[in-house]
Amino acid sequence: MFNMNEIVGKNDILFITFDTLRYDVAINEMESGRTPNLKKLLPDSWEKRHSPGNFTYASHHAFFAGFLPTPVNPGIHDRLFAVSFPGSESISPNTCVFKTSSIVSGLAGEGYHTACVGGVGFFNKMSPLGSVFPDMFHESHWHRSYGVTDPDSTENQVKCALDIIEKRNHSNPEQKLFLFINISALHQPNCFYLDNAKKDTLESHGAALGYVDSKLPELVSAFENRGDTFMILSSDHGTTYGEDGYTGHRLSHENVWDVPFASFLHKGNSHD
Amino acid sequence: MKHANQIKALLFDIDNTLVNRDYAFTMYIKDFVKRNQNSFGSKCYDSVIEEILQIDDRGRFDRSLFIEKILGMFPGLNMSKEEFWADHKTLPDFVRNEYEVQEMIKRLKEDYNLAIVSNGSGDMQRMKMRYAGLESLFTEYFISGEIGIEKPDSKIFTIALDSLKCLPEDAVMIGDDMDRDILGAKKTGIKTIMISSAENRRKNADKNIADIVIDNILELEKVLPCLI
Repeated sequence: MFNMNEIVGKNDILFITFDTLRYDVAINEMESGRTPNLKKLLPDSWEKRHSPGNFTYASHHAFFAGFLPTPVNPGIHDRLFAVSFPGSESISPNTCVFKTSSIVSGLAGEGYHTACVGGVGFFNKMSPLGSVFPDMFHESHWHRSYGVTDPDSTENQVKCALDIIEKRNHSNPEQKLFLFINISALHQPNCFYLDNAKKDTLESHGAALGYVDSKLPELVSAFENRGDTFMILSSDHGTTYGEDGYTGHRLSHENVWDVPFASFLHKGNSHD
Repeated sequence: MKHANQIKALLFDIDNTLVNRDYAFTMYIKDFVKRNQNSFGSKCYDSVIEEILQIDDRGRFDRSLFIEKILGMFPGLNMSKEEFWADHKTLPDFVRNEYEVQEMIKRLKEDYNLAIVSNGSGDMQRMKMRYAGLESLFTEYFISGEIGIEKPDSKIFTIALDSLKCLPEDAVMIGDDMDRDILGAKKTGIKTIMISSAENRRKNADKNIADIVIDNILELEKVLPCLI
């Protein structure tokens, strides 16, 4: 595990949640070569983890409190981040612990500029509920073209993220950036990523991930130009397409609680 | 902190100066083409968008002529001019919240009188400012659609200066358009800062008459003390 106390304050942090991405689909698409850009970032592939929530709101509340998806093997696992919590057994000397109620405000306290690019409805700022997560950040952005119904959502979200990075590069290039993006394209509806598909299926879910993958290089490159970046790529929960009679999520089924996860330090371009 | 020079007022253009109009227009046109995807015959989505962006000329092409031209090029749209204009007025919905610019304007307000001097319809320009989170940070608006005078006419600048009780030499116009913002303000005696990409700067090096040229509005605070 990384010593997060050596990373926080020194590196940008990019946290992407691939909303609704199933673990089996992520693995299958990578092994079939349909997510080449993710493969470059994750040469050892995705790690299987258990999500702390079975739908977006629950999972993200846990994530922002420092409870990222848990490794699947039994035992106590050290966490990357935590907010101080008496009695916690998963805080180690490598855990970055904040005395705040969320890791977002904790990182702000460490001097980070925090920015959120929303995707699914819990980030749409159209109601008090849809504002809970965006309001945690210094700046937050959402537009319907970032949401689940727009087939170009990831392209639009990445454009927004690039604009945030460009503005930071102009206004305060030295200040570290914590950028969070909730990718919406995998969430239902996703049938439009598969030619002639009329309904959402495992295949269209996979095709959606291929689309998302194709939009990542520009974002990664923008971070590389700023330096080394600590990246967290994770699903927030999976979903079901008829398995054992279940459809959707916010239910406890292995296809919902098993999620793909990765965290790593991505090297930036040398400025020597 | 008050700056050493005598600058008292800052006049701002809106489109591609305070607000990322290029981003908003591209997003709007993509959305428009998607909503009307059966109206463009066999043309591919990307080429239709590219053609419309070229005609738009970063918002410089007259809006009523733009609407006529697009409807003429794509008769399949089957829309009246009024219907297309009503649709076009949803453009501000695509304007991004400009957090960094908001923070900078809040700081500048402590030292300078600020005003908007913009061409366009009052509704549309104010709406763009609202979506960018900037509308309430300005109290002085001089928009051509509301006062009947357009940049580069000196009168629009003079009206703004009179309202701010400011001499031309104590004011700076900040904008991205050489003819409307920079030449217009220059002939009124106002200092000028132009927002222009490095590429545009190279292309138009011989035509540049702005006192200072910057890449991005966020460099404004850094260069203001250089204007004496």
